Amino acid sequence: MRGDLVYEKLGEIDPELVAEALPDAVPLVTVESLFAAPEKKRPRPKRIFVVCACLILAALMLVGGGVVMSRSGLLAGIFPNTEPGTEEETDDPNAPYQGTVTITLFKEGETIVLEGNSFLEGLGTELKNLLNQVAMGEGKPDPDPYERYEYRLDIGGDEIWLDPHVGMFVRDRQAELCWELDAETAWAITTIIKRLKTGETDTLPEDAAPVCEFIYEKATRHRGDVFEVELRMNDSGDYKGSFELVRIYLYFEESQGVYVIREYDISMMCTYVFFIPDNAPLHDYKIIAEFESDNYGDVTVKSDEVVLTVAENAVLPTYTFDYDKESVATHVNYGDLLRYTVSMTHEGDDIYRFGYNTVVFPTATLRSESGETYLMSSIDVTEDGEQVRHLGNGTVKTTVELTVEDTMPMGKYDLILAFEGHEQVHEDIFEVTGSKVLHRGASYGLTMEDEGSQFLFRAVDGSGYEIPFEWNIGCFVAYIPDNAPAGVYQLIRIDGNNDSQVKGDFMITDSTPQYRLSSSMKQQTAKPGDQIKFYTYAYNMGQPLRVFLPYDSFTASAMLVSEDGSYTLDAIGAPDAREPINYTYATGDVNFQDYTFFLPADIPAGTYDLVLTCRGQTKTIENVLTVVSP
Amino acid sequence: MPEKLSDEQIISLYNDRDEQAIQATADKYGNFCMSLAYDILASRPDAEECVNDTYLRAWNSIPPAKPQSLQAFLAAITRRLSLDRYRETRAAKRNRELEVSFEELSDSISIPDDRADELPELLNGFLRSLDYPERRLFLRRYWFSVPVETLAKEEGTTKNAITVRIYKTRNKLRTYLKERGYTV
Repeated sequence: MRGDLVYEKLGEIDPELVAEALPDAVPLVTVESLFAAPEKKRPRPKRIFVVCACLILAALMLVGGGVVMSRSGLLAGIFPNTEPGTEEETDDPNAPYQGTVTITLFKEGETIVLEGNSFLEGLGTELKNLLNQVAMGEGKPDPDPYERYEYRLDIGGDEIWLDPHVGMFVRDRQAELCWELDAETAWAITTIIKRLKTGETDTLPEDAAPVCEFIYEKATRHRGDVFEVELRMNDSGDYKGSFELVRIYLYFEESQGVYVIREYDISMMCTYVFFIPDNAPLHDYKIIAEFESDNYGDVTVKSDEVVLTVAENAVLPTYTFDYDKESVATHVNYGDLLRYTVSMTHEGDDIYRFGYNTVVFPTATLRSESGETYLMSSIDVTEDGEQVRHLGNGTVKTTVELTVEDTMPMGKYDLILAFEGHEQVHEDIFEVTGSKVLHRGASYGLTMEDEGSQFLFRAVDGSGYEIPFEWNIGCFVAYIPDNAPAGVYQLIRIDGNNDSQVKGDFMITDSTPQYRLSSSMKQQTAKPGDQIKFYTYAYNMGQPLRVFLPYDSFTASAMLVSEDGSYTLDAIGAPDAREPINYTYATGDVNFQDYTFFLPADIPAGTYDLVLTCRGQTKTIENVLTVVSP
Repeated sequence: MPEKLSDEQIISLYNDRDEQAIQATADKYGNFCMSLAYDILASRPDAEECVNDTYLRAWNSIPPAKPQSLQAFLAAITRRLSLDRYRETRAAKRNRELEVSFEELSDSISIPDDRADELPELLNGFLRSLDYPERRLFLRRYWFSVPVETLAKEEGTTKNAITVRIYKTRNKLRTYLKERGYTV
């Protein structure tokens, strides 16, 4: 089974199992991790956090803890040496902090005292406002959800917890939650403490090993090839703090500037893939990686030698694209799933490709008449032959799909198949009609999570005619009755007192289904207690009906009726087994049913008709059974 | 900063159609949902959009929905939306970590795609057969899409140990399915 499908189905397991696996509210972590490098990539430069930290911390001091101390006692822990009587001075927002910061960490009985203040000097501007914002919970920076720090810091008996899920909060000695900080403030304070611990360092250690190592096979490649490089970080302990990769690229320098081959969009963990464009200069390239670091600012690491030579192609690569026209409907409606098999054929020099399916398939984009584009999802990737590193020439195929959402405009759509600057447009491959056509007798299903909602079809002609949906184990199903007025309907969702339209308009046609009902029961004579066996068929003689199986099925029934109508007997049957599929177009034979039952002892003697019913339509087969007295 | 509301209080806001419900949800579970969405999508803008959609979905669902665990309820919505979004954008940008998860699971489960509907019940049975630590680890990895590195930190152990434990659990799953007629 496809992994993504497994993932989806995993989402449907018992919620109780999920609930018990929720992340702990407060993971226990030791104080050592305070000095561990954050391992998750952060989207913003850390130096911003450092400045922010200085501002906040200095702000805390400038107001003498007046606001914050009353909340949590935090300052009492962080600033035990703050001179009394400084509150008035803090009214001047430009007053620099002159005191000393002392932070005490407790670690397994060992007390570590950190002192320092120099980096706070001269940062008085706007500090009070910032503090007030933090203290009042206003205008706080957005929490950074990508942080994975999990620290516990004991400050003067109070604990500061930093947690990736809930940000940072302060507990008092009774471990009661006092006050909560947002994640960014937590990060800022952590950074301050780290800087106190490690000291101010702005330059890389001179004798340290390189920050990273490039692992590659020096190669000569053509335009259209790919080239891969693994980046291995130096974990020897030469550096303090963490490094975050900002950019990695191949380059060469000439008098007119620097030419860069960017990293391909999709990286394989620590392996970076470069696609060599068709216009890449024929040249020798080196590699460069740019980092941001906690303690050393921006750091650049270059390779000493040429890693790649781009050589001239004998034949420049060309690509042709195609898609499986057989599978494409020309008129589609909202909610329809479009699925195409698209292919890309490469010609030219044999090309060197990274043999993983993240690189070598084309993208498929739908474009409306008004220019909106919709990227189709690739759900499967197939390749002629195995996925190999040396692709050579050949055809790559992939299956793409997209569900037509009701936000997509009506009209004709082009299909654009593209790969790295090469593209081919297939014009007007289908048209979104904007409404879903339903015939009477059809059924329409909605798979929704919210069982409690209500849905109905409502005629737009003002007649107030409505067709309800019924909840049926994971689905809402509406059955279009044979007497539904033809016309345009809206699918309405009812939430409380609010009605809202979903999924565009629906057109119910004036096509009324005609079922041909027949039975294998031949004229026969029987007595009470005899077994009766027959089967019935129902044929749809009209338009193919789009029905939602198995929630809607063409159940049929059969009933014996005495000549005068005074006695009826429901035949007992079993519908044929149907595969649990969703939508299908029902035409031709839509129902087959076996009946096997015994005539009851008290059935009156006489002649009986067999009345067959399917979706409200009936057929009577007269005089099919004669019951005689035993 | 105001104290966060309890789940009951937040659900009560939803029931009263008080829009503070969304803010309260964001305050309490915003980071959690973002983390979950980001682990799947590896894209901040996409994750933010999914989380916002989660709030809207919660707003539209409660009432009548009465979640036993608001966090699990939100997690289910976020996860589903994120997977949908991931499929939409998969051709353009792939989350290698997630793709690895897909492959791991795909290798362990041999049920044909057209019988996928049978899987949730099978997984319920399988997960209940596991000890709690293994069950939790399996779900953290594959339901919450938590990277192995993070799991190692959560469990206070090494990445290798986590990988081995999850590998063993996947083997158990393979055996479990095989015993029930799903041939590997």
